Order: sequence, then C-alpha cells, then structure tokens
Amino acid sequence: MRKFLVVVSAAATLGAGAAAFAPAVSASAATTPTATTPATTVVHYGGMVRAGSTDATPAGTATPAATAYPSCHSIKYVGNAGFISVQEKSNKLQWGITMTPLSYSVGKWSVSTYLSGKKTTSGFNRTVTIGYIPHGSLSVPSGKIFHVMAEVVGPDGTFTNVPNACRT
Amino acid sequence: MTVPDQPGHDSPAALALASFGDGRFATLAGEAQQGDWAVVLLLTNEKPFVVPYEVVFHRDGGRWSEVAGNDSPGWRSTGGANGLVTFWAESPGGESPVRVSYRGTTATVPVEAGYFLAVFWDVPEDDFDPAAQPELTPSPG
Repeated sequence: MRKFLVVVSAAATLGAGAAAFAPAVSASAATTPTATTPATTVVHYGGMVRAGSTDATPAGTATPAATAYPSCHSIKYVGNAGFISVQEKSNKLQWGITMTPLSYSVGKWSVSTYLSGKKTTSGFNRTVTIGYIPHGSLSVPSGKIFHVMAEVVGPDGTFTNVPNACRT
Repeated sequence: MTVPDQPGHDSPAALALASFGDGRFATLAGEAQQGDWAVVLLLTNEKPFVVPYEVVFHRDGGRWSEVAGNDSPGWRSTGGANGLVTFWAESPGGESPVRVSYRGTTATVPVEAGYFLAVFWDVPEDDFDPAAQPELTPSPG
C-alpha cells in the first residue's frame, strides 16, 4: 500500500510527509548502508535552498554532479530551506519535497523528474495556498540516474533545488 | 481518446484502486485510455479532505503496470520525444460533462465524483507549457 496516503491539511500534511518517507536522520548522523548493517536513510546535501543564497545554483542549471551516485533506496537531500526525499524498492521509486518550514511551500511550484537526463514527468505544476508536500512515484529500471528539479515562488521568496541524483 | 477497456480486476482503474488499500482509501474519479497507455484519477482520503492523485499505466505483453503517480496534472513521458498531458480538477459545472480545450484540441469528458480528467496524447515535451491552462466549459452533455 502507498505510504503517502493521508494528506488532509497543512498540519496533517507534515505528518504525512514524515510517514511518507524514511525517518529523518540528521546530517551529522548520516550513515551509509552496508552489507552488514540495516539500511537507513542516507542524508546528502542537495535539497531546497533559497534562490540567490550562496547555496543556490541558478535556476535551470541545477544538474546532477558528475560524481559517484548514491543508491535511491532511501535518501534524503537536505538544503537550508527543505529536503528532497527519495525511496526505491522493487523498481518503484517515490519522491517528495518537504519545505522547512512548511510555510515555504506556499506558492507556485514547478517540479520535473528525470531519469538519466531524460524528463519523465513534469511532476508538480500548480499553486498551493497551504502547506503541502509535492510527491510522486515512478517505475524505474535499475541502473538509471534519478534527479529532481524544483522551484517554488511564493510570498516567502523563491526556492530552488541544488544538485541531487541517485542511482536506481 | 478511446474508451477504457471493460473494468476487470487487472484494469488500470482496478489496479490503481487496489494500491490504495484495495479501494478502501480512494475513489475513482476518472479514467482515459489510448492504445497501451492509460491514466486514472483517484480521490484519496475522505471528504472533505480528498486529495486527487493521478496514476499513469502502460500495457506491455497484455498486462497493465503503473508507470508514474503524481499529485498534480502535467506532462508525462511515454517514451521517445512525446508524452501525454493531463488536466484534472473539480468540475466547474457540477456533474455535467466538461469541455476541455488545449492548444487547439477539444475533448468532452465526463465528471465522476465531482472531478473531471482530460488527457491529451502525443504531446512533445517542448510543447507543454505548465503555465498554459486549458479552457473549460460545462457541456450540455
């Protein structure tokens, strides 16, 4: 059954976000799953940041870094204005974007998802007026590179993603 | 736009509903199919807190399988350079069918559970403009 089922209000949405993705792990406590330890959420830098901040990249240029890619199994890209969560199991990938604070999610969104550089969906293109966690799912073959590009323009400013990418 | 296949336990609608607690947590609000692609619109949760959720299916070897799910209308890749564009929302005119015009193409679609779903097929990625909203008019039926 889907895990991101209950999304009923701003407050509940936050709860759904917590339920939708793997438990939060602080950056300092990030661990990498190994063959001998249970898989936990891997935390990487690369979530949502305020546009224009030193952490931001210009809109439209936020592309995955050409480095080794972590697994999409359970990963959380954390920025100073929100995080992008990705989980994958049995070639089914789920993604979500949680702004922190949630009020930063109010505004006009533009989200697209990519597999190995090819756009798969224009995943979330609408204006939200209460706190919300854009999310979606994809069937993915193994060995592809998944990444999210996102921007939200709202009363609290413009926020955009910084590079993120994982291997399916 | 073609009429969806007859409902069955392995139809796109049935599969989409099954993924939400065997239908306990979702209501069917629309379905469209063309060839081996189908789109299902569900309303998850219960009133008044329903959350629309769209699921795209592809048929391969006679079996439907889920390709993508989204909580917003938009463009979806169907392989190659083209994709499909979905529009859905609460019906502007009650239970009357809705006429949806997008980039010169008009479709009249039914309303289910207060929502309509319109799908425009074979749309190049570059032709999709998230800011371009369809023109909606209630249809006399």
